[in-house]
Amino acid sequence: MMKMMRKKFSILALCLIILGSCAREDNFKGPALTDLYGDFSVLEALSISNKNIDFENGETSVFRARFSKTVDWELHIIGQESGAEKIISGKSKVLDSDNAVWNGSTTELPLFKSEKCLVNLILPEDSVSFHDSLSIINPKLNEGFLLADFENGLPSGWQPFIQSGADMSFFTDDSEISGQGDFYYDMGGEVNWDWLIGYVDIPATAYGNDGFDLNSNPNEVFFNCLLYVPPGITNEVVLFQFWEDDDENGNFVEGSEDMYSLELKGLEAGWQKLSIRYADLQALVNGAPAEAAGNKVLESHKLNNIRILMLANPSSGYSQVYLDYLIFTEGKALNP
Amino acid sequence: MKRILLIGLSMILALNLSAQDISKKVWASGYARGTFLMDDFDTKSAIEDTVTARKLNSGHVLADLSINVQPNANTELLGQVRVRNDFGGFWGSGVTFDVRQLYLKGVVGGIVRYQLGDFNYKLTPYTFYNNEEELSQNEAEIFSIYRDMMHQDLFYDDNNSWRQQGASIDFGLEFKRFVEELNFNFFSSRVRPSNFTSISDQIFLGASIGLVQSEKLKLAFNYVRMLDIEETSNSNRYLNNPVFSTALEAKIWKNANYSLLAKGEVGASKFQYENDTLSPILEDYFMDLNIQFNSLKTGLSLDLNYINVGADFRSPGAQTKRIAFTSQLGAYERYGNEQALRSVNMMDLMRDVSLYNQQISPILMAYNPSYGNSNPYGNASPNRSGLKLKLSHKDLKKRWEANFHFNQLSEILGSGTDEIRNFSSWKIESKIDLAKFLNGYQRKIELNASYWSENTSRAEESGLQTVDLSNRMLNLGLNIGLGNNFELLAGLRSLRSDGFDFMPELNVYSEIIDFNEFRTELSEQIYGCGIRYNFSKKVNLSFLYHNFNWKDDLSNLSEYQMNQYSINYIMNF
Repeated sequence: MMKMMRKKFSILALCLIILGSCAREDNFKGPALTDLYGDFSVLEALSISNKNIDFENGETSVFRARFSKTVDWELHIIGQESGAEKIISGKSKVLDSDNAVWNGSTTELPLFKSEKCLVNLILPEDSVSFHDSLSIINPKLNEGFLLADFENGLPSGWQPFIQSGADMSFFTDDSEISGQGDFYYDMGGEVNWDWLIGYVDIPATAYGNDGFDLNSNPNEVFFNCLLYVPPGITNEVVLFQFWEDDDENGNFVEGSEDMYSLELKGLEAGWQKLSIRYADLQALVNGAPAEAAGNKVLESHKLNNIRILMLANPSSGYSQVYLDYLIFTEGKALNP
Repeated sequence: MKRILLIGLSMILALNLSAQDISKKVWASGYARGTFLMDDFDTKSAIEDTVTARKLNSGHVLADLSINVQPNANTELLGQVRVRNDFGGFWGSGVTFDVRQLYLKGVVGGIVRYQLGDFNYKLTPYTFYNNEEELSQNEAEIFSIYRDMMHQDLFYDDNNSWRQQGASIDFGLEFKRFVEELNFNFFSSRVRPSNFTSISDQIFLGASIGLVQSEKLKLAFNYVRMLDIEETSNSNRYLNNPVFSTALEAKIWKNANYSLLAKGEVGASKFQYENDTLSPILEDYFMDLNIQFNSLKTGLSLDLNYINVGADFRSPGAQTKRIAFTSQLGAYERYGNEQALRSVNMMDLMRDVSLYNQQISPILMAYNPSYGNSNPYGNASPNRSGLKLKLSHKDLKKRWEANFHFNQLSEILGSGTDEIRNFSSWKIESKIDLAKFLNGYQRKIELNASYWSENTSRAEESGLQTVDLSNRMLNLGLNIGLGNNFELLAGLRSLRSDGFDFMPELNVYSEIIDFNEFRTELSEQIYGCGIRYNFSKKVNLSFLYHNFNWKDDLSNLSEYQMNQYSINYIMNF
């Protein structure tokens, strides 16, 4: 009896030894708690790899720092002249080329220009911040078909129409901070007898062709521009009209060829980016979607004129909007 | 559709009534209940809560009508329809009809048992097992009345099986020499249907081969696997999670006074999403070794377990939780003037069926450490090793029974640090039939009481807050027979949870990707009293009152109180 029991216990003990000898990894599971919740210290202060950056030639700048634990961080780069701001944020122990590279893009408009910038690295949770500076030799060059940046005045071939009214502007100006560069196009005035304050036509012929040489796939074409509404202006209506030369005879005939539109109102004060996919444009009649008058097909390659109308309710008084950096991009919206 | 179902049901019932007169080949069975709840909610904040509705009434009447058809001695068909009418429906607009279960079962050739459709199944606590939900044990009957209703709705049974939909086959072979029996069990069920685009059909299948060498020695091989079926959607990412185990049971010693039993189960698992470059391959093993000593003359027994479940052991069939803590609450989801999201409490767990899960989860589900931190996924909780001791005594005259549990577990691998967490818990539970101590007293006086204490700790580490979480819970329940089939029911449950722990945050592969700080000074109390009239053992009517209080001094949520009045009529037939 005892012999049998001993035998059974021996088998069990053997099983235990075999199982106990099975190897497991000995690392702890999950991220290190000390990285997440340990004491904070700065192991490597903020450094900037390139302090004089030529973004136009593809240069970038890498920000580096190292901490004892994983922290939420925010890197703010602020243009001292333009007021543009780039914010890069993350949660990590290390800032390096994987998570803190700047290619000249902007988070808060306007766009950066050739200027000096302040760099602030903020760790909100630990009430720590680092400060440095850098200089932009040449700002970022955005790929696309640039219609105008107004740095050299109104492009030749553009045809403005200005109503008779009070305080009419419709000129390029640099008295306020521009969306890009130094100059913008100021469209403003008061017309108390008509909604139309003025407009500007941008014919394709201003660029030497009957068309704008855009991709024929309207899903691939994006129209972008920067708009500014001065503080206090709330009655602005900006209407973009895209005229297509359906029969490709070099002329647009209203009522028998397609015209697609985009109406903007109730914009926020300050600079803002407008980006719209050409395929998302609609034909409008009195602001309401309607059937296009021509072949009813969105054909970006047949676009031959853009009209930008500045409108306001005649009883609402003075209205004003600045326009800057009109550009067609392909494949994706402008990432300034 | 409803009308067709109703007519169909009436026809079947009519058929049943006529059939019952002739033979027992068609018969009806079922369950019915009517319940009405009135909640009275009170936010105990300094500023009066003017947003939350103070009173909320709800209720329903439902009947689960089952038709059993036995066309021949070897085949049986069961179809069950649930007809439910929520109070507040108007002229039947709140009535719902659901086919609740449907199965066909039988025996082929007098050897192979099969079941098609709905079936309940379980294997072992490490392969396929429906673990009890948190705070459900040692519950006073006044509280378990609601829980029993939920379990009825959810197909949870006392056997810890999971309700599945698929097929099962069981058969056995008997031998004259060396081996007495060889039993084979196979099942397969569909856990999740394909959406034909990104989600593939997911199935859970298993097999068990049990070998009975003699009454003294039993051996079993278990295999389960959760997997996605290839080409049932456009996705080429497939879950593959097999688990196998071997279980041994040996009666080492038995005589008229004592018995000694040794049991053990060892096994391993592998978790992987195939064709998913981000998916880890998690492989690990477990062992559970158990010695049971029984003193048959004194009613004493001792149960000692050593468990070791690897950190990467993944067994969906055994680790799936009943409670889905991330579900939306059915009542008072938001409260207070800020309409803050209310967290799940013990009263919700007792009565809110919407918090419960009925399907096997391929990933580890969320849990609340205040309700149990040492074994959140039952015995198969990954990353645990240590000893479990249970000392029991059953009065031979059946007047009382008492159990003492002591568990000393620890992590196998640290979580976020090399230091491991230790889980120490004990529980004492007793059930006393006081009437049996009173000579000649014929009515029931049953008292049950339990106290549970659990502590989670980890050695101090520089720069990190020390883990120290303590949970305690007291349960008291009383049933007094009043005569004329009336019973007085009363119960109390009080929970406290204080301290701090780091709670792991898991990704879709059940890997720890972050830790969240968990701080609590939680206090929950519920007490209740009521009266029940038993028409028979299967039919009763009860009037119950419950008072529940919730408070967490470290939470942003306001303290609150819920009073609940209810009428419940329950009938099994």
